[in-house]
Amino acid sequence: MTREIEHIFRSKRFVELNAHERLLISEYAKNEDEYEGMRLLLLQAHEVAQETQVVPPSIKRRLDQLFDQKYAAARLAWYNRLWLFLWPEQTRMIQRPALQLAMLLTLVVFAIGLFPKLEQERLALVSPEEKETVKTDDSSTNDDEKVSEIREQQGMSQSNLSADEVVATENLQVNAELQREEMETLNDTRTFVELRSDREDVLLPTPDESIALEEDFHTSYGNVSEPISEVVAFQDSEIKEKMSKRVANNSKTVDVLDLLTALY
Amino acid sequence: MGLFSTNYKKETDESLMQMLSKGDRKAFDELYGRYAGPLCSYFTRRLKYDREKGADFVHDLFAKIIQRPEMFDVTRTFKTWVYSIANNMCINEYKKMAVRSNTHNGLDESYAIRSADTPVTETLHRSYFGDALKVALNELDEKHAVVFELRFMQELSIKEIAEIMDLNEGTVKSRVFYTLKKLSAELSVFDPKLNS
Repeated sequence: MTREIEHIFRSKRFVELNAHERLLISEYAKNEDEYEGMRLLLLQAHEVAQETQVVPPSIKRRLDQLFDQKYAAARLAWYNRLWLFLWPEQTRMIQRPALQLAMLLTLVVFAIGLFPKLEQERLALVSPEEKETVKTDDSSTNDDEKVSEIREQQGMSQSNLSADEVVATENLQVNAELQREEMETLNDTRTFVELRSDREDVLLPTPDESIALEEDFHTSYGNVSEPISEVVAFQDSEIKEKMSKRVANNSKTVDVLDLLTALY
Repeated sequence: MGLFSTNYKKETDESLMQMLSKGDRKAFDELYGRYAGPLCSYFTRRLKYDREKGADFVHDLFAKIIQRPEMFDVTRTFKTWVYSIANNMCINEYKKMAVRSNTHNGLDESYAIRSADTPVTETLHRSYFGDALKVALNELDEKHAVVFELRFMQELSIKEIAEIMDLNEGTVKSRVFYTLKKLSAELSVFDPKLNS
């Protein structure tokens, strides 16, 4: 009797059977009485099977004692238990904790070993061009600092100017005018500014501001080379002319020097 | 199998048996929990409903498993292996019982404990169909009773029964068929329409 036939007997009455099911059970029951008798038998057998006997607890206790006696000699020390925990033979190799821990440790060791190398590679990746840009940035900042220092010095010196020194400022204005003329005459001046603007990201001053900037440089250089107070002492027109020529010469050399430094 | 603990409930009988052979107490407990009850019922029914004897047989069977776990044949399933041991134990017990019954107890052998020609009316007075079934099973010859027990009480497959009894499947099927026919004929005195 197959499971299917058994299921039919247990679940359906004879009147509920279809033609296919009647064909299946025909070997075991030819009419309704036989079918119902067989059905009752199987249902009752199932009920009897459900009456599972409860085993007395004393049986289990005796078996436990027997088990302890049998395996007392093989009672494991703690380190053997640890080993069994780490390397259980019932599990697959990949699932054994010892192997998993070893893999994790290996990964950590490799990760630690690789970290400094990666750092070095990153340092080596910095190209010489980038280094140059860094240097130029530094030089530009140095120039700015110098300019600001000079301005500060000038500011300080201007604040310390007495009434006598007003003449010196007039001379400077003359110098500035001369410079402007010379700058206009120089064709290279425009290209110089363009070159500077191409090479460096510099805020280009207006013509007046550029002159003022040039003045700053010249006054600072002038302070070092020739004290302006000497000029004040002369009031003769000839001396004035000489001085203006001298300043003009000075301004020429200063311009050339500025141009060279800018080009550099 | 978890990473940090073994879930014995999910383990197969065979793997539990392997663990048991290495001294795993919990594996033994799990196996005992799975099979002690059904085996006790099996022994009790096979041994003329002697409950004490059935419990003792369960003890003996598990004691054998503890003492000699290497007996387990890894090529077989644990279920068929353990039921084949139980079947052999019952056969041995029948032989002992047969020897005891042969001893003369002073009674006339014509006095049967239960007459075969019990009146139908008396049988009908059995209020419980189950009792009648048990009696009918007891009266069956051993080979058919075992097949019925294993097939319909323990709910083993034909293949498993054939393995346990060391028979071919055709023989088991014919025995099942014969037993069903015989039992249904014997119990036909009960009106199924009244019982259903």
